[in-house]
Amino acid sequence: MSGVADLGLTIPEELADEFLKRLAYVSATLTHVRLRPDRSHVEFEAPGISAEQLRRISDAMADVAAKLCAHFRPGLARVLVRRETLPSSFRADPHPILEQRGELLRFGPGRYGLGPKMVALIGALDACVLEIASDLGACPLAFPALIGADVLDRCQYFRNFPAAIGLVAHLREDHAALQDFASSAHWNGTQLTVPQGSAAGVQCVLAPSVCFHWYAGLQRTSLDAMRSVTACGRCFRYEAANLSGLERLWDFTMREVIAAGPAPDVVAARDGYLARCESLLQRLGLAFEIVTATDPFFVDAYATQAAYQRGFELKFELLVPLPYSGRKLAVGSINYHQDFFGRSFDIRAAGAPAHTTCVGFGLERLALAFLAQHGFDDGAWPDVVTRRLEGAR
Amino acid sequence: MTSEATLETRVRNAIARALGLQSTSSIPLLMGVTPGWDSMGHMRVVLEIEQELGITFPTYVLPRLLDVPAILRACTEQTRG
Repeated sequence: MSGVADLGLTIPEELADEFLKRLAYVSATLTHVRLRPDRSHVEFEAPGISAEQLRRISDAMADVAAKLCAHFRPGLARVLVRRETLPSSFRADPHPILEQRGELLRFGPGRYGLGPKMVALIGALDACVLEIASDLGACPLAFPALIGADVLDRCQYFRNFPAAIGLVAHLREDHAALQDFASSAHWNGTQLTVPQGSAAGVQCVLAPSVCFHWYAGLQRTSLDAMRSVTACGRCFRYEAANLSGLERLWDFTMREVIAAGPAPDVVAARDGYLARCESLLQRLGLAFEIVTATDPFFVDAYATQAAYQRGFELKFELLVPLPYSGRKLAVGSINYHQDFFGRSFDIRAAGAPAHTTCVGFGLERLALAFLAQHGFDDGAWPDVVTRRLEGAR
Repeated sequence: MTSEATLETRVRNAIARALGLQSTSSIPLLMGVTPGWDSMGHMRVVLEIEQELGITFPTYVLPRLLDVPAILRACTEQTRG
C-alpha cells in the first residue's frame, strides 16, 4: 500500500536529512520513502498493511516532524579546516571490488566480515590513530562488548538514543524453560521464535561506544590530575533501514582516546585531538573537512540537545568525501562533554565534577574512505600506511 | 519601574520557573553555580526566556547566556534586530 503523510509543517532544509533518517524507525514495513520538494509531505510504500496502520504511520511521521522542528533555530555547521584535493583519480565504489576479492563478507544488514587485506589495512590505520594516543600518554585499556544497562541509564542514553540500542538477554535459569527453548526455538525465516518467558530480564546491552566503560570505571573517584586512556572495541548501533555497507554498520570497531580531569586540561586535550586528527588525515593523503556537528538525538530530545551541542561547539566530525557517491562520511568525531559524565558518574577533579573529552574513529569507515579515495593500488598509498602493512604481508 | 528593571525581573522570573526555584533574590543566577543550571538546565532557561519574551536566540548566542547581565545584553540585541 502507498501513502502520503501530511506533516502539517515545512521541514527546514537543513533538517531534511535528519528527518528522513529518523523515518527508518517509524515502521519496519516502510520502503521508497521520499520527502516531497515542498518538504511538507512524505510519500512512502508499506506493503501488506491496513488502512488503519497506514494512518498510524502517517501520524507517526507528523509527530517526528513536529518534535524535530520544535524550537528549531537555524545554525550552520562551522568548517574548521577543509582539504579538497583527492589523492587519486579512483572513483569506483570499493564495496563490489572488496566482495569480489573475498575481502568483504556480508552476513546481514550492518554485519560484515573482513578478509586478510582489509584486516591488515584496518590494523595499519588503527596504528596511525594510536600515535595520537601515544603522543598524549594515553594508557591502553580493554573493555567488554557488553555494557551494563545501569551505566547507560545513568548517562541518559536510553532517553537520547533509544533506537540504536541492542538489548542482550540470556535465557532464564529455569530447567523447564530451558528444555522448552531447546525443543522449540527455531529460525522462522525472518527471526528467532522463542517460547514466551524464555528470556531473563535485560541487565546488559551491546555497548554503543567505548568511552562509557571508562567513565563508569571512574565512578565516585577524585582525579588528582587529568588522566588519558585509549581503547579499541566492538560497538553496536542499530540504524534500521539506514544500515548500508561499511558506511553504516550495526556492529563496528571504534578506536577511542579519552581524557578526564579539570576543565582547562580537558579542553586543551580536546584542542590537541583536533590538531592531531587534522595532521593524521593529511598524512593519510585524504581530502577531508573538520566541522561542527551534532549527535543524532532521538526526536523528543533533538531540538534542545542539538542546539546546545551546536551552540557550545561540543562535537566536531571528521568528514571524508566518498568520490563514488558524492556523500561525505564521518570517519571519526571529537567530543567535549563538559561535566556531563563527571556529574553522571560522580567523578571529581580539582574540587568540581570532572570534565571529559574523547576522539573516536570508526575503523571500518576509515578504511572504506581510504580505499574510496586512494583506490586499490597499494604501491601508490601513503608511506604512513604502507610501512605498517609490511609486517602484515 | 523602568523598562530595564522590568526586563530584568522578567528574565529572573523565567530563570526561576525554568529551574524550579522559589526565589531568585538570595542566590546568584549563573550557569554552573545556580542549582540545576547545568547543561540540561541551560536549555530549559533559554526556552523559558524565549517563551517569556517572544524571541529566539541564534545558536551561536547560547554559550553567552551564562548569567543575567549577559542574558539582558543578548535580549536587547535580539529586540533591536
